[in-house]
Amino acid sequence: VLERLLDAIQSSRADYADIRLERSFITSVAWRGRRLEGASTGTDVGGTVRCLNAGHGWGVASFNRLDDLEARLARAHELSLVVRPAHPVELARAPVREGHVRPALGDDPRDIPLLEKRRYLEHLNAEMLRFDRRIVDTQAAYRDEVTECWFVNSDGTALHELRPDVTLSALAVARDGGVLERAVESLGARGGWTRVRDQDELFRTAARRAVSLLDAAPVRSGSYPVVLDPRLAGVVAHETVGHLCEADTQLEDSVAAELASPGRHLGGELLTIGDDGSVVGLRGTLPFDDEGTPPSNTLLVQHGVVVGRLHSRETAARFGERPTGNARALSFRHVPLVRLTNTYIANGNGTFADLIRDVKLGVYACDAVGSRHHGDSYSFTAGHGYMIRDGALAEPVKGVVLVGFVTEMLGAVDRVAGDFRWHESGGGCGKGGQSPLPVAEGAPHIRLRSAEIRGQAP
Amino acid sequence: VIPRLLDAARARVQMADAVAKTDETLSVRLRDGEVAAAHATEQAGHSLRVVADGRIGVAGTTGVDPDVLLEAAISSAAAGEAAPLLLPSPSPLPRVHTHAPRAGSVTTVELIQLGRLLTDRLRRGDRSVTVHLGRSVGSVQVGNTRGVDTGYQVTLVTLDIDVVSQPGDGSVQVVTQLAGADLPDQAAIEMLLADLEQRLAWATTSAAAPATSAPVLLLPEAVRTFLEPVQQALVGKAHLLGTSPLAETLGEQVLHPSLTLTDDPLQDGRAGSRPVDDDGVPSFRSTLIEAGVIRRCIYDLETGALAGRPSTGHGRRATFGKAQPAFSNLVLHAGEPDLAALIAAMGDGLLVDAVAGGTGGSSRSGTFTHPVVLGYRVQGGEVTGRVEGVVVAGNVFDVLGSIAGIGRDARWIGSSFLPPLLLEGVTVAPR
Repeated sequence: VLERLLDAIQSSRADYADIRLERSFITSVAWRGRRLEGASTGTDVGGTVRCLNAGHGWGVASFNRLDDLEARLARAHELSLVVRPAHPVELARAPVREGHVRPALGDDPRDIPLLEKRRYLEHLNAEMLRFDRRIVDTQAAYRDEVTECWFVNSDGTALHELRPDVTLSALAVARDGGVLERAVESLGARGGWTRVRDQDELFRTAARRAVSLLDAAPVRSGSYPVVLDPRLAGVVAHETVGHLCEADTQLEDSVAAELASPGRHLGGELLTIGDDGSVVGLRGTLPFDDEGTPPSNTLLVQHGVVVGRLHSRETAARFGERPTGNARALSFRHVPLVRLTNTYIANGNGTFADLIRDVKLGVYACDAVGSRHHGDSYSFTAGHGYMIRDGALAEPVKGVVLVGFVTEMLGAVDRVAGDFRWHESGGGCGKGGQSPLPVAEGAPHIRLRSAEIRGQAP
Repeated sequence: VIPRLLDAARARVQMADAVAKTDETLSVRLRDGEVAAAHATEQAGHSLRVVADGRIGVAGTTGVDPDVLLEAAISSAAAGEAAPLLLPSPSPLPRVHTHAPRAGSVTTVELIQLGRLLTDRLRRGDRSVTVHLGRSVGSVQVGNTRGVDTGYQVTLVTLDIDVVSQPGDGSVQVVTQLAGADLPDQAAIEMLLADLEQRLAWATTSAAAPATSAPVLLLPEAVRTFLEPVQQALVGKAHLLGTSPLAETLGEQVLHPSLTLTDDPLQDGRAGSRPVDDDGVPSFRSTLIEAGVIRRCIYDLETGALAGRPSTGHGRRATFGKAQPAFSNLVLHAGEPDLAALIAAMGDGLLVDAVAGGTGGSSRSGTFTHPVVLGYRVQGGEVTGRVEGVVVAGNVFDVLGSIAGIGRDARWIGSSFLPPLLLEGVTVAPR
């Protein structure tokens, strides 16, 4: 295939051209309550061609039929010539690369019969249903997608790669009288079938939490010292610093450009945040991004000061910086945007107990089930939480929403524990209509000196 | 391809149906009149559903060899669930306009010309104007082993305008959109521009937030976000699962008597228009809510079969996965007063242009907390400036029970036709 693509790309009259082709095998199984929602399979085949000419911008053609690549290249070239952006697109130089990456998938999901996947999910779903009589609704879902990708560009780069992705997700709904609570757990992995085996505990955790939320009191709104668990801390890093440091976001959004301009303080002295698509085995990890650049560990905030940005070849040229390997596309239907990979808060010192020891009255907020932002104000909805009283964990609380301005929220970080861990959820990141893109987050426990909690109780 | 697939299926399974969709889209984005991006897309996909040994299986592909689908669908059926699926037999389709030949042949140059024309009308010193234009031409083919073999052509023209202005004390973003089977005519464009200019004018100065209990007037874009929990509650699947807050209220008056909502696939030339759904069921108009009384939920064949109800013609199938019930065009019936009369009637309150949706509450219970992305203060029956830093909160099912007014100036937003709504009982709070 690569030879055919390299031949085709020779035909292009554009100054630069690239072709991405993908062939994906997808299966999904979903249970809802006592019923099977579906067990289905699919094959998704297609590609995208991009062309660029000096003084112009991108012309793009995407397609399912792979038979006439020369015509696609001609179409994208024509489109490029009508594009005349105020800042003509240029690309940072990149070395020519060749590579075949085929992870050892001894347990290739394509070799596991659909019936076996269905039975396994039936079992996981049953774990939730039988956990407690108050569990009134469940969802148990599995999805695998094994994608073979080919990338060539007119510089001569030629890459061939197998990208597996498997996900499991659990939703449990508990009811007691008029009180209804839900809890979710999920897991995603760039691997094979064994990565999702033996996950009974994940599903029991969702059921256990939904039931325990029934008796939890709503948190009282107010300002508290707040300790974030590693999952929520990781999501906060991703949603705030991560997205603000995407170079294409900064070009479009003046708020991001200002908040994340190099040298600016964005967080306390203890806070160091980065994005690293090269960590072995994580869900956001790739050997090459979708322009053929190997991902790197990019520091974004170091000791509370902005030090970096994430780039594609286009944004790197625009800023006069180096490509960081963050140009990612959801699939062949989309063009690469600057995207996050594995975003992290660097490890600190001490334990969780050290963080809560001197907190008289505070909130321990765990996991993130929702987040949104408008300008520089953010809100994060925790999955569950506890009060901290006199230096110890106290009663569970629900409805914990952390709200505030990004500079205040990150500036309030006064402790970073030494218990770093990665979390690979089964969801993903959304941007520019491309969702869910596989990513991971990692962090230790962190503490905010004071933060605004908005609860359902006044 | 579909007849061949179904012929092969007849020999192997009890019944089968298939959908094939094609789409060819051209889109351009202009930033301050300069073309910033151009994208051409061609897509084609096939989805096959079979019933084998009483069990349902589905498979989809975008590849060129749909014959692999039959084996994949049979293996899906082996892992699938039994459902008493009854496929429709052939019947005449209603007439509805979904295809405008001239829209299908619009060229890149013509799209750019239209984009420049719109930009020129909107540009001023302090404004940045982004226009996104797209045109699609496509087809939908539906067939089944009972003899249904039908289809239709579609075109869709979409226009999104985003104006950022810097009125001196901040930055304001005002957006608008239009979608339909044909190119918008001059009158539609003039209305769109006038509406956009009006909102930009309102946003020029800033004003203080109103009192917590002030009345709230929603413009069509905001109405769309508010209606989402109602839509979800009217999907048959939510009734089947017992998760709809309206499940027990069919036939009851639970919303305000001025509220009537229909699903209308037979509106000519709209984004959700179609003569037949993806299950092969001919389309018809459904009254969902009639004068505040819950009349009907929507079902596709499969959800209907499980719930023991007929399909309402709301099956939608993507290339991958099973059919799901989905609305076509949603029409919220307009009222008498024009927008100025509603603003005058509210006296002192908040006019809401756009809210952030998302996870601000529970769609199931209807509680919401929406940050107001763009809102205006109304004082003495007139708009006095934009309001920043507030959220609107409440419960959708409660506030739609006490509607104070529905306007006449309804607009199509995507596939929804929505008038302004004047509400009481919404809390306006600082963000």
